[in-house]
Amino acid sequence: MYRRADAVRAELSNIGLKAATQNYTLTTSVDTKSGVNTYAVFNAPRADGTEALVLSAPWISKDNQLNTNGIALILSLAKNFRRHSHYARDTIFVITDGDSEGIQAWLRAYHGIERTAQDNHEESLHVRSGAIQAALNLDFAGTGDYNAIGIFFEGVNGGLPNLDLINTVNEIGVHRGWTVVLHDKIIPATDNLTRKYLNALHNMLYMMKYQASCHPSANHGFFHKYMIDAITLYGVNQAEGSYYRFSVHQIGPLVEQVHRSLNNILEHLHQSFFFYLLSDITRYTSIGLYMPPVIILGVSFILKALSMWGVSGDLATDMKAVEQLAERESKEAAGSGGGEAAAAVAASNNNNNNTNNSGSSATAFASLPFSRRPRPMRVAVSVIGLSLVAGLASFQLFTSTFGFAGETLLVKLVASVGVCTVMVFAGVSSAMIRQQLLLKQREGKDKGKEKKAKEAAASSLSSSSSSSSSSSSTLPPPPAPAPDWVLLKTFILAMAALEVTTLSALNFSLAVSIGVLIAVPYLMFQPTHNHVLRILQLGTLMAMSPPGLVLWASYLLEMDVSAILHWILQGYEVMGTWLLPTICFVYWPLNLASIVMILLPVS
Amino acid sequence: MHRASTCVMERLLRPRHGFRLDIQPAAPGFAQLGEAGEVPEANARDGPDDLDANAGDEAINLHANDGDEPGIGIGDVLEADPENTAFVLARIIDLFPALARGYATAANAVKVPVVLHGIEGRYASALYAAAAKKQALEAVESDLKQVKAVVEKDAKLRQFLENPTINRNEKKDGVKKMLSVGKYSDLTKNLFDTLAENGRLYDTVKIINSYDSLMSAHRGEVQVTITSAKELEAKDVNKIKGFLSKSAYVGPKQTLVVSNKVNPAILGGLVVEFGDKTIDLSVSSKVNKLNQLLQDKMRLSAGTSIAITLALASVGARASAQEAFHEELVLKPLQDGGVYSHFQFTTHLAWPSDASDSIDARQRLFSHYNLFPRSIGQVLQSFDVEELHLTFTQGRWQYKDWGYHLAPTAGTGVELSAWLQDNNRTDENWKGLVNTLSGLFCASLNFIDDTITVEPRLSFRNEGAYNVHHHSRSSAASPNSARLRYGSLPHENVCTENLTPWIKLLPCKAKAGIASLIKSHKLFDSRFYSMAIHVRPVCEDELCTVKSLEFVQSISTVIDVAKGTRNSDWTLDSLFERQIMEACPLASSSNVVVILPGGKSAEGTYELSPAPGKHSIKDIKEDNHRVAVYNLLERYTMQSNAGAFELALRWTKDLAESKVDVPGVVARRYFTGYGQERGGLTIELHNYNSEPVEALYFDALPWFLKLYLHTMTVQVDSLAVNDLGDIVLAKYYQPAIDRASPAVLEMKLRLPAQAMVKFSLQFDKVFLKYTEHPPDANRGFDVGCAVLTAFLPRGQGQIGFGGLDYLRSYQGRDQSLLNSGLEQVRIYTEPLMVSLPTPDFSMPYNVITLTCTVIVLFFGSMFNLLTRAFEAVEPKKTK
Repeated sequence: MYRRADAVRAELSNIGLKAATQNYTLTTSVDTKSGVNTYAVFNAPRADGTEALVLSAPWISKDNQLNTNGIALILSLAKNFRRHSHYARDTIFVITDGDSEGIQAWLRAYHGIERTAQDNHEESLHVRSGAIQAALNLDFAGTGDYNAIGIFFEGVNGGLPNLDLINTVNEIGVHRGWTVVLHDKIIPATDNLTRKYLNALHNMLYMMKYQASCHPSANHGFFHKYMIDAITLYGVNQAEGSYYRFSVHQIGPLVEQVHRSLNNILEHLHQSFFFYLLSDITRYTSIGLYMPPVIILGVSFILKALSMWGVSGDLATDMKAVEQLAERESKEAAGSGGGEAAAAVAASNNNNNNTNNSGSSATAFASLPFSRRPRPMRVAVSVIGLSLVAGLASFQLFTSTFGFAGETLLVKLVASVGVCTVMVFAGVSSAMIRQQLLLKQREGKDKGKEKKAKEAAASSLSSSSSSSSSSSSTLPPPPAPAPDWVLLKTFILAMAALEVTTLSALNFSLAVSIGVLIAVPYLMFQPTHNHVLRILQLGTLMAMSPPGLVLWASYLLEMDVSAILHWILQGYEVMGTWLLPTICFVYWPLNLASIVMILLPVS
Repeated sequence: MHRASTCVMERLLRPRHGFRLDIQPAAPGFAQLGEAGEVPEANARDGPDDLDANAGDEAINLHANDGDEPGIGIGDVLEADPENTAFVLARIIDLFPALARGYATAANAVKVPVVLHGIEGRYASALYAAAAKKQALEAVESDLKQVKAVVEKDAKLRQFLENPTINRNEKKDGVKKMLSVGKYSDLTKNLFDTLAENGRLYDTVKIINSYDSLMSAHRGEVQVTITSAKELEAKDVNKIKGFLSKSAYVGPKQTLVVSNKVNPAILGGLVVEFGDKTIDLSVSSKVNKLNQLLQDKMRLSAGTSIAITLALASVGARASAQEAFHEELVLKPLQDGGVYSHFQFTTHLAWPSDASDSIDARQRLFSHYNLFPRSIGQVLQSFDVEELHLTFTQGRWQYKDWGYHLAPTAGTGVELSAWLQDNNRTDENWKGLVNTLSGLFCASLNFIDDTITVEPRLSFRNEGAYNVHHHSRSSAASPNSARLRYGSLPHENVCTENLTPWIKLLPCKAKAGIASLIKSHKLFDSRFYSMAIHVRPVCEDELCTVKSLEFVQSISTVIDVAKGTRNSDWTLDSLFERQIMEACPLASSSNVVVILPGGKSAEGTYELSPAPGKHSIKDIKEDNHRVAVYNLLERYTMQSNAGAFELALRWTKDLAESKVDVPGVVARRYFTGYGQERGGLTIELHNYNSEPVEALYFDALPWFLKLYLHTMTVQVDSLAVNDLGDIVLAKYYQPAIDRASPAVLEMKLRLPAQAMVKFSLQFDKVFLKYTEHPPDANRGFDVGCAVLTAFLPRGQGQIGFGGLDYLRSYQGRDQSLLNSGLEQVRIYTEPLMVSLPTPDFSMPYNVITLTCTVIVLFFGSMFNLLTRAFEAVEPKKTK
């Protein structure tokens, strides 16, 4: 590994550039990675060197082949640059080792934030240049020809480069007669509108898949964090189809032209072309168009939460009963004759909540609209709190190393599922016990209260005068509090709204996927007496839970479960993606709380 | 040896009474000096008050045991002597150290027989005084000899003494342990305690050497070195010794210690080094002088009639105003296939020697113009400029590949520094100067306003050979109360519009002589291009009896010949696409100097045509290179139709893999961190020498970077330094004022041998008002270069030694002042760019602004309508 890095370094210094190598070691909770990067700086002869462009190439291509043509391109471009003096910016050539650790180690060291610990170590750079303005990552696997140039542009956590960069490559590519595509799929042109639409949708979903996974689509994605626009140029090599093929000799001029365009820019790319969804290389959906759907999703949660909150406080859940009561009363009033009674009904409807001067029975005034009942939030808050703690605990479980024998990610997953089960069990059982206790308490009280209520009704009947004085003297029994699940659901929905809308500003695709996934179940599900329904709901929530999703993924993608876990964890530890934290701090707590909610008693 | 020369020597050794009388009135402290010899104390003064006295005063008290005797307090570090008297004194000591030596066996024991300079000198003097009081001079000497032997033998011990990362207390303990082994006198132990406390242990060997020289002076020994072409016989040596001992410099009880050195290069005769004085009686120097005379004669007698009249005119001009113009081109093939070319055009104008009043002298100086450009003269006169340096640079100098440049250049962009007379119009003059030069050179120099202008306190000292500070490496203010102003524009582009006015200042323009090679297309298409003017007062001889005002125009370029290929042959024509058809008729000297690649060993790997004559190849051993000199004046006056001067260098073998002249000190500076809120600044200073090097760091940072000085950390080879004082000898920091003045950070540093010193600092970025953003707001803001001034011995990657004075010998001017041991080299770091938080000036921003405006407009009027009660007011009835 060191030898090949040093060979390239020697080659680059032979060309006349200042070249050096950089060693790095990265230790994660799973394993230790180390490697050697090679980099060289071409000092633009007449420039002051305050700005630089980066041309990078990984040793191993996206297809797990050796990036032979990519590195050959780097070397030949370096040789070509050396002969000219028109460059306004320095060019840094970086050949990176490893999957993504290499480019990250180099970027950290370039920005002076290299780590010097024994197990996390990045060597300081010996050659430097100015502020990096843009970067091109070259990924041309093998030594053969290519059908088209693919552009990968999605960065870590869904970050995107300036759209102008992609447009530039496309303009130049098309001008030179190249096929330039998004990603690595060549889609044949059709005149069929439906076909076209489906192709565009496919492209967009493909892009959103990268964004939602928080993983960069190639090595360029790590530049975005440092406010450097970067894309990967990828040699698409499809066996099928009768496309015109391009040799590596034709790619060189294209890369040179893109580099020259970047060299000629007066300022850092800055027009607000950072928020877009690409459905085709020449067609983009701007933030103004794609934001409303996700906002509507968020708003639906908010509206439902608000209505639930209102319902939880209202005693009158049954409006029909109220209407019937009102009808009966009006009939009675008509029967007894006299506008006085009608006026009284109207008055009672208008201003009074708790009492009814013409009140027929004790049940009547309990079911009137706008009557309040207490909203005990103890269960809801503690369940939410507990589920967050469970999320945190599983995050800790995943990211820390314990060092016992047989410690695998699968074991950790089982452990965290265990933690979550315990949490659900604790939440549900304690809520049940509390319910039982409250019921008993209530029963004891109710017996006494019923008597009082009857007396009060009698007294109010006898005194046909105004109600306000009598109501104060004869308080009705406190209404039964709102069921815990209602409040819990309110909280869950409010949190879901908060998280989806916030996330949509940070990583649109991730927010959309979470929102779409949870919208229907979270809005619809609630505890029922119907056991079949309840179990169905429970099953759906279980399938939606992170462990469930992992199983789904392994089933659908035919991948090992631990491989999926490894991918997620490496994303967090090596690349700094937000996928694991989002799952553990946002998605899983909501899911756990919903499971608890389903299991709570109906009333 | 030979009668004639010994006669001359005798005459020379007689004290110069005349000179003594000359300088006595100018130096009130002279008498004192002769008697007491306390000059360094008088000279050594603390730096300006606002200097952060990191290194502070050091009290050297070796009498720790007997408390009644006072210690000798000595100001440290900045051998600052801005006062005139001190300046003159120092100068005299430089010239006549023998005078300062006084009487070696003086009755008062505290008196030191020889006045020594520098830190080691002061420690040695203090030790000597203490030892003399205790009558332990010899005991201490033998102690020190023992210590020296141990230190020289034991590499580990040496490293322990020199390593700045070791805590002072640890060092103290270590030294105590070391001394407890043998039998040492108390004084020696005290000395090492003091050294450890003051963090001066790294100077141990130097101090011991200084003490040795004090002792030898005490014993009345005077060192004499005689250099001759062949080894001298004993009787000749004795003869010289006899003459010397009779001279007035040698006291009655002093003995001479004579050593003989052999140097065939002097051809014949003798060079006698007597203390600090050199008597050059060598044949080679006489030959040189004769050569010069012959050349001057030749120019008068030979050539066509036009040449004669021109030459007469120039000689006549010289006779009346003592003006002369020299043109030189220095070419050096570089290791990486480039060619370094340095054009230097020197005009010097003799300063009226009888003038004591400088204002009067200036007026007479600029009353008539022959060769000196009038536009510059008027600028100097109207803005009271004493010294002026203006440099336009494009590209970066690659120190590691090319070594140091010959003459001072600057970092990318434009750099202007000037010494202005200190009167109440200094700032006004600076503004005027900047604006005038801006017009003169078609450059945006007028952007050097208060937010850019700084007054360096340690760096950018006076230049010019008559300035004693040039040699004593000190960083004092100007001798004659002048103020320094410095400003730079890192993003100023250099172009032909700057070159054209520059060419107009030349007497022959670009029509004749070396300047005819100047073709803008070729020069600007190079890897480095630096164009400068320097105005400074200089001395024309060692005693400074003739002063002159020197105006130097220079262009330095590095042209990439190979351009990535292996072929790096060149001719003047291929380099510049122009030819030299004649020397400038107004020039007193016109030379093309080729610094031959790779010294003697590379001979035969290249072919130079026309082949240089034998006598025109010189070996400069100290700088480890050979030069070939082509005298164009001779060529074009000897042959009337000499044709174009076609110089070519062809490599016969593959480019010699000779070792690159590794520069002694290299500096790098870069930003760290990312994001728009804060950042860091890292400065890396590499010292590749085997000796510690003293250097001055200067950095002026714009006000929009809020520097936090408390975050400064220092590392030596990535080890944190405990004691900042070991590295930073003095520090000056001027905090920035928002929108008014930049932050200035200056440090006097001691760079440990073969180590990398790394400073890092943190800063916050300021959010600018939106009107303060330039039109290209997203490009970022340029931060100018930092400057490291290092004092390096010869042969440290310098292309030549002496900077602007390098070419004096080719101009037939006295260059004896050049023989100082260290050269001041200014190393520029790369300029930097910082991106500040920038509002989005594009579409969405405009939309937001517009929407807000519209909303405010409607809301305001609606609110007004809804909340205000409208009533009909009846007009008041007027009477």
